[in-house]
Amino acid sequence: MTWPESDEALVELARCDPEAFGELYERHVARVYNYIYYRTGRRLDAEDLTAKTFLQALAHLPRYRQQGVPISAWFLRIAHNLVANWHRDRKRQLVPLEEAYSTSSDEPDPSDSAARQEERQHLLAAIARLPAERQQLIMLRFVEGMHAADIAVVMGRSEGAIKALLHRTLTGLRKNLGEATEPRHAHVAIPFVRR
Amino acid sequence: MWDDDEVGALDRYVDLLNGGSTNATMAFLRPGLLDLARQLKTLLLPVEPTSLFRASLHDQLVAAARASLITPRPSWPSQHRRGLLIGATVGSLLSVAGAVALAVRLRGTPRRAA
Repeated sequence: MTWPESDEALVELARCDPEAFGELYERHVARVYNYIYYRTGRRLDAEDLTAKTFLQALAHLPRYRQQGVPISAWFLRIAHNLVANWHRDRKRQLVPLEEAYSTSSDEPDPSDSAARQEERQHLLAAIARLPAERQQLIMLRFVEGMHAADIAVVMGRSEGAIKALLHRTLTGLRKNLGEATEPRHAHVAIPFVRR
Repeated sequence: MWDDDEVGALDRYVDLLNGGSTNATMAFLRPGLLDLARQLKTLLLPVEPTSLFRASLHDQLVAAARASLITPRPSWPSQHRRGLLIGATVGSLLSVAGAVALAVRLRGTPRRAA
């Protein structure tokens, strides 16, 4: 079957067609899983919470109203709440991204140099020291590639507040990374990693 | 203000890194911030769920969606719900008005001498 290109039309179909909901899931599962994985750092928990996110979305779909916001923001909002509950219930500290990242790439890229690996670990360790909210913002903005306006919906803030928070986060992160590393970063051209 | 300019420039630059087409004005960005944004985009790679998990959850969701369509939850359409609310409100107001009217009438009735 050919599905409509727009998510808005697909959402309307999904209200009465189970296969359409399956298609909606296929379009957004990677993003939701990715977000949860970086917030929990564990594959099993990411799978469990991803399943809960979509089951909850399915249950609430009849009451969902489209208001010009991408459906992905709604999925991520549900995921965000589930992750928050997950952390609260287990009284766990946020898993450092360094740890999360070290298990995320199954095979190291052979083109990665030792210096590059070291640079990556250094950066991830600095991110791991940030408050959870700022880690979340970095994930949504850089890993998910979301716009500030959509992140504002997920995090329950204004678009301007998200832009300002990103600026403060990167300024602070840069400071944390230390002056010693800055000249190196300023002059090394970082090649994009193959996906 | 420098910071306001930089906040906007940083946002546009990250959009550019994320594959958007924007006329980011990097002049407002300190080189350190520019490099850090590029590093973050390069080093934080997306993680894919396994195909087994993905397929299994797909089947589970489609089955759940099918089940929910077969046995729909009882729910009032919004126009009925609104009617019910209005009816309940009017009913409550009439009851209160009736009680007040009765009280006023009883108070106004002269008591008979014993």
